[in-house]
Amino acid sequence: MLPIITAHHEGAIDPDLLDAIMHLIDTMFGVDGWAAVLILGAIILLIPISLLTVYLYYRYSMGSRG
Amino acid sequence: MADNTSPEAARLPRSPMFYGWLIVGVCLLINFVSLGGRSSFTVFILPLEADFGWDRGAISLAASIGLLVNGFTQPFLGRVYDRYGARKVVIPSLLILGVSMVLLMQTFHLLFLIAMYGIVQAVATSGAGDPITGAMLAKWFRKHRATVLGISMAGASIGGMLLVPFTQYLIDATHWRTAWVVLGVLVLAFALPAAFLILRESPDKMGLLPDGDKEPERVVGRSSKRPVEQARGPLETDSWRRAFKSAPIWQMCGAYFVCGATTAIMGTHFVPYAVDKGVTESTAALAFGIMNGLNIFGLVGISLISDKMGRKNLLALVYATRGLGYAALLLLPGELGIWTFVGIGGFSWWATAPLTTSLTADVYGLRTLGTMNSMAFLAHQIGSAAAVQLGGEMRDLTGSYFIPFAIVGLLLIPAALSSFTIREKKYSIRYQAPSPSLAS
Repeated sequence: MLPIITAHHEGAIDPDLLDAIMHLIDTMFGVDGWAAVLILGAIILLIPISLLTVYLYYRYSMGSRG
Repeated sequence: MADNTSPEAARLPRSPMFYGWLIVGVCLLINFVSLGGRSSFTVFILPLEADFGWDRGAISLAASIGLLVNGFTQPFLGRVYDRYGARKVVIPSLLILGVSMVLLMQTFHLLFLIAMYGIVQAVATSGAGDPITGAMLAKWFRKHRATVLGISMAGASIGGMLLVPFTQYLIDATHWRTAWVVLGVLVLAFALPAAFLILRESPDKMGLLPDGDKEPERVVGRSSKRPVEQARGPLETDSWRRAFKSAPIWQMCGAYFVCGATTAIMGTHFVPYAVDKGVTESTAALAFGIMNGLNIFGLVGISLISDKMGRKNLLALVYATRGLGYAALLLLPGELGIWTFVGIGGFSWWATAPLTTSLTADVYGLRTLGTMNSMAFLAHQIGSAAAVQLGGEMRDLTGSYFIPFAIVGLLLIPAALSSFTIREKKYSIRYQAPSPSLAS
């Protein structure tokens, strides 16, 4: 038995379950490895970049209001 | 036009948006990279087996130790947070987390993996974990407390959904050592600077009010109105030990133990159970994926509702709903049971976390919330570990998952009752100081 878990806080899921999910994603979208890396990577980077952009806008707005 | 702004409101800085929303964003990002990144460990198991010839049990040891270290160090780091604030805990933790991820590329021995992933990284994850970011967020929001906690915790769920497949594809395209470096760089180059730039302890340190209010909320007292910041609930305390002499924290921790048990056992044993029921692995995987998608809606939706009404009834409802999901899974045949479980249970999967944190903050105040949240988290992790073990052992003994699933499923009844009987109206600050959302 693999005593690692998916929980609210930290943990990992059963590798057999993950393997089946990955197989499903491959079947549904049919993208090759590098394309998937680039697409998912771009989506992932969008989160911190958006946050830092909003932060810079906030700083700029506060600065321009004196 | 007459300016009705009070002198107190006029002193508040005018900003294009409430800074608290940036705090929500950075907490979401921290949960995304730290908890999502930790979830990615699964995809390293097979390459490590192939490269070093370690068996799965040996690699799992690192994960198991990590789980325990994470659970047991969380209360200590929660205490450090209560004393010194979030920046002094979260920022060093992110630095250590990122560096340890990069160093995992050098893995050469099982002991190195255990030390780096199971100990160093697990402690760092505690320091940047949602019990601590949640406690900080509770200071920034009062009326929208559960909603922002739900949004922040959704970061962990989204992190799991994006980072796990991303890491798998990255390993397929490059090498597992490269994947560790990329995960580490994601923490060091994005989450760490964002936390350094954005994290602030509380709105009052910036001359702001919780929720971005322009006027301090007032408590309707007998003789005069006073700001809600000066109000104290009957159980509000500076000492977590004193808090544990009252009933609500035990009721929440007990229910949270069941929460850990009922979610963890599924994460590990869902596919074998589905296969036992005659469902294919791909259908089980699809069902599990949809359930994870539904849980984001459940997490944010239920949090949103709980800010408009009481929390403990919703918390009880979440546990009861999950119990119905378990009943459907065990009693309905084959795929019907699986899909009914997914439909009913998906909405309840993560919703307990923001409700429990919000209710703890509402009842006991913010001064020891880091420690209290962390203790509840420890109860959750003990429940998780116990249930996963129970599932495996009982499956070996009886040849079926029915009994362990039924045991943890039945525990949802006392969990729901325990939540339902929390005397929220008597103890919660929300009922001592009516907010507009509750008063309307």
